[in-house]
Amino acid sequence: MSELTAASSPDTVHQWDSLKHMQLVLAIEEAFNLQFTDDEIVSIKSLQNVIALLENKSGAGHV
Amino acid sequence: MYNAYTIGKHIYLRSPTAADAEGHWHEWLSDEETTRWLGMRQWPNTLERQRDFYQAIQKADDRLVLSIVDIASDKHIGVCNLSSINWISRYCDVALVIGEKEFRSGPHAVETMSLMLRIAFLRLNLRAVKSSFSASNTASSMIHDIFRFKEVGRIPGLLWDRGEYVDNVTSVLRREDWMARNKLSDHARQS
Repeated sequence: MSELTAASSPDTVHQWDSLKHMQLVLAIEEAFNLQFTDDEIVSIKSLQNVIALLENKSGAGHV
Repeated sequence: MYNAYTIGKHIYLRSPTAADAEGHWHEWLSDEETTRWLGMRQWPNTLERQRDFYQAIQKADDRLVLSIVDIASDKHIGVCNLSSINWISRYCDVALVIGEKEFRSGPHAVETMSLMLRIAFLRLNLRAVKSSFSASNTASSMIHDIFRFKEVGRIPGLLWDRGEYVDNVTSVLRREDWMARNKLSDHARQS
């Protein structure tokens, strides 16, 4: 299995298919006790996107 | 991009064309893997039946059928619909099929559902979108979960799926819940 980095995305991680994408969204929502909007769900294209969304939702620049 | 009804990041939705009906559409609805979750579609589909369906939806006022087109390739990859639209009580059913298999692992199904919900709640002013699916359909279950549909009913062992009877799940997403999650006021209107 390849090492995950902020740049990891469905293009670089073979196992990151649509099912895994949905699992990731649900797991993040549960872990951080938040809900993504529809636009945010569709906008996630890499782990960097996830980090940015979480930072944005935290409102403090960090999670 | 031709006659776009709604445009997303990876896909756009448009009214089906006669060329769509003449293309791969009818083959998707014969394919065993694709039709596994499609209820009554156990018989082989034909080009003639697809043409009939295409003609029928031109006059339907309780059903909005849209073709899913991949923006990058401008390829017709699937079909989605809001069906059984009740204009008095303002609810409908939602369903989608990504027929072209190479697009199933990507973001297209999730984005299609996102666009269909926006159409249902903001463009058609419906109050609730419901959906029924097989409990053994993991992908369908998850897509309803991430868009926060709530399970409202389950009929045990109703559906025959490859050697066993499985539950039929009915779930509903209400407009007010969708609006709140997307941080939209009830005055919001956008296509």
